[in-house]
Amino acid sequence: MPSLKKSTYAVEALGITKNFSDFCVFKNLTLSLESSKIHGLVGVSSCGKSTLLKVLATIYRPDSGQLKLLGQEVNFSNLFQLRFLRSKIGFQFQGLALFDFLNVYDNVRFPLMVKGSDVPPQEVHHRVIAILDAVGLKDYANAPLTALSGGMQRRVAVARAMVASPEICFLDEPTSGLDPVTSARIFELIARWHIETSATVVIASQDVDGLKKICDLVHVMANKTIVFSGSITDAEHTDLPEVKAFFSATLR
Amino acid sequence: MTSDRIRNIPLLELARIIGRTFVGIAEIIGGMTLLQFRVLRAMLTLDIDYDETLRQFYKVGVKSLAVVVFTAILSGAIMVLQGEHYVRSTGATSLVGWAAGTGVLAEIGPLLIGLMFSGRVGANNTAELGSMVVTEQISALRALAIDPVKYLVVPRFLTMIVMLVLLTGLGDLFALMGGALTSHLLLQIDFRLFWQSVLDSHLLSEFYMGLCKGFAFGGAIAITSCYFGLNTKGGARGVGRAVNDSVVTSAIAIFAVNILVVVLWY
Repeated sequence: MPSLKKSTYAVEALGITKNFSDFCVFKNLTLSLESSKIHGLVGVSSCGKSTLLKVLATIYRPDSGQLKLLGQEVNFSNLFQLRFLRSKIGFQFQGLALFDFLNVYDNVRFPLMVKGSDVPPQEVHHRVIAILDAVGLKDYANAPLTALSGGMQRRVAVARAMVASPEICFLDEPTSGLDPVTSARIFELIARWHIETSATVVIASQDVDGLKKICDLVHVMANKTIVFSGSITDAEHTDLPEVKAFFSATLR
Repeated sequence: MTSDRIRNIPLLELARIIGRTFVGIAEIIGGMTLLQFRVLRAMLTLDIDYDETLRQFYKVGVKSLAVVVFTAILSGAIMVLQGEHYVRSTGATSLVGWAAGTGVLAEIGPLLIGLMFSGRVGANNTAELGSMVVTEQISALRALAIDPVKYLVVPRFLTMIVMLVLLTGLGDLFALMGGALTSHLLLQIDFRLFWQSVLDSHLLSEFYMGLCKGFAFGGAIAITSCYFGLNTKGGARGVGRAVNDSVVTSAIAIFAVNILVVVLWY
């Protein structure tokens, strides 16, 4: 296994472009995500946040540009390197992507059973139960996914992304469809987990109020690129219209 | 009407349609060959998920047993019914076992069981993998550093081959039982005479050929159904299209492989 030196930036995307057939999702996008920070990614619906997260997590291959993860330049043809880097990543999909042939417990346990996981077998059960307890689903451990509501399934997906303590955790709309109380609980969980693990967390969300409470930095996506990167305070005081729309929005 | 329509298509457009069709076929064959190669590579390195393989064995075995037994009994009965006229006219009752055995063990049994298996297990497999693609479960596996071919395709490939060989053997037995029962009820041939006729015919070669066909059909169905499942595009309609393409291609593959086995056997 190649070793990783702690890099200043957990993720560096340099001039990356992603197209689907003739449709350009983003073009020449550059983004640097500092290590051990919580990053918020905001932008209007369908602006390409989910696709960007998938490219940064090596699920999609960019059409051009350079991607660096944990200081290593990603070579999409090197399957060994890809597998190694992916083992350092947690990802919660917007569409959840839970394994419907497994129950709640086994879904959350799955990342810990992957070859190369450095969690000792005797600790697996403890970890799964602890994270299920944190998302309020300990009593549903043996339930099939079909017995859970959409919001509960979302919490399972968040738990699955975090359970293996990845170095980078990508969360795509972790609180979408959840009530304000549960949303606040999820954001608290993310903040607490971040303090415990010092992982780099990237959250794509429309819940600006929630992001404001826990994010160190925010990145605003518009016009097929990143138009702003900075602290919450900077975002609230900038004159950029795409950023103001999110951070200084007032009802007219 | 149709010929008019064909005549009205500009030559260039016709060439484009033909070209596109050939490229599409080449893409499918190439994709399936590549998938087969990746499966064999994983098997050679023994990089197999044994839990998933066991789960597949249970699922495939339980799902197919009833349908295979039913198909086998009917195929044995059909072989006897086909020969009934000749047996009645010639009085060659001692040849019924031979006729039913030869047809069932070498050809009809494996072929019908293979087709039923494809319709039942192959179609289900494509639908399952296709649903996993459209709900991003395959992407989730990749994100967890798991190769979907190793985790999902290799266990299915192994299971389908082993199960189809076993089911072909079991199906042979039930087909002969179906033949014996039909000849007894329709032609009043004694059970003992029927089985004696089967045993005297020395049909071991046909039996082995049937098992070989089961092996080859299992591999063909597994690769075809997994290929179309993993290449599903679009939502629910895409899954439906993938299942349809998988069943049709599997049937073509079964007939092609059948010819290949017969040619190589003799």
